[in-house]
Amino acid sequence: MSVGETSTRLNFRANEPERTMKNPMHKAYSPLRLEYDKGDLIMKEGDYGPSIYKIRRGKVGIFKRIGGQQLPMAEVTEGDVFGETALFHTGDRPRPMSARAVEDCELEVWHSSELLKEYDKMPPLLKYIFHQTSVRFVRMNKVIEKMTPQEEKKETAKIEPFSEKQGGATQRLYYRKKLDVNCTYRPLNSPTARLEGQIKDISLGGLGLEIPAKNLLNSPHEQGKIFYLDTVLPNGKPLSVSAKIVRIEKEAQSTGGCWVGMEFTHLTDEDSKNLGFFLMP
Amino acid sequence: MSIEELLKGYVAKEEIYADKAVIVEEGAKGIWAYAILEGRAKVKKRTAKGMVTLDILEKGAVFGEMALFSKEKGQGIRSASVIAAHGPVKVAVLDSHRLIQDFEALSPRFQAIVASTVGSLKAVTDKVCTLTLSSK
Repeated sequence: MSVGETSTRLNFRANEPERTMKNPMHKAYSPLRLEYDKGDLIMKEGDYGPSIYKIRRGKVGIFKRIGGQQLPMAEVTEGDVFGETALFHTGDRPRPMSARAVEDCELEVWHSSELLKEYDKMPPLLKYIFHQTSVRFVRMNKVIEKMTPQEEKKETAKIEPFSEKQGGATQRLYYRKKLDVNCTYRPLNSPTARLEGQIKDISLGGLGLEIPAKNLLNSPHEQGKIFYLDTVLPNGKPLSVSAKIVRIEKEAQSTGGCWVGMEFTHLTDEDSKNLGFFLMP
Repeated sequence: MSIEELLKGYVAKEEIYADKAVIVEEGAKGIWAYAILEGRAKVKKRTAKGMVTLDILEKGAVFGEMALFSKEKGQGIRSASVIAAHGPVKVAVLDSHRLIQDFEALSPRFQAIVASTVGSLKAVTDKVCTLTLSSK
């Protein structure tokens, strides 16, 4: 990916925490330093960004959204590095995790494009091993994204993955965009069924679907049930995903049908990329 | 480049393990890294509810490298077991000394990135193991 693309992408992402870097390209080679206050979001899961961070002072918590919850993955401290997946996946893969300052901290910011040159010059075997480690990480990360923490099962009623509330544990992780497109969908285990609905909003984490009440008669729509959905995004890109129902509201506003909140259980890389582009503000 | 070409100059010795033999044991200290030359091996990890298979390694897969490139360089405790599966396995035992030399010739920034990638893989794997059986 070229440097130009990176900065364009940053410009598009006006609300991304990484925007605080202010024109990283103008400061190539002199490591940029940033300060964050305790509680600040440094890196957001689902966003795209070229920065790799080294902690000069303070402590940072790494979190991942699993089954609607923010789970702590690791705590990193002075001398540690995080956000290193940006080295390979600046533009084609969103951040796999979020990072939040646990204490006031000072970070050094590296731009992945500077470091790729060194990657190219690595001794071949070392490069091969490093690449293998990165691939294993990406795969493990996919595995964990399909898992459900135990706590969630016990307290299903309390969890609102689509909550509007800002701050705290239920803060929305993904930017959600409103839209109104037709989609066909079917239960995972009924390949011949064909139901229709209108997608009303979508994010990298899931979507809101409005369906006519008759769909409920044709197929049960209970919480946790997984469906395949096929649609074409307004930008012309097809999207085929599987998603599970996390919330149902009978009597949606416009159609007298139902509103179904769904969370993606599987997105291919291609779909995730297309959706990522569509979601850029 | 084939795995044999990549390994040229790095192979300390070759070893053959019988089916189900333990090549690397979780919890043990170890500094060797290995590459599979023939056969297959399972990566297994202990969890609260028993052993979980995390991966099946095939020809070309390198394992044991975490001990070399993590923050605790050389003091690494094996984070998982690797066990010969579906018949015997032939592995190359890699020259750790040379690999560590290569690693230390990288810039401090790059060393930190490699170590961090290893750390992230470890963290996400550990989390997978704590979640795996608790949810079923």
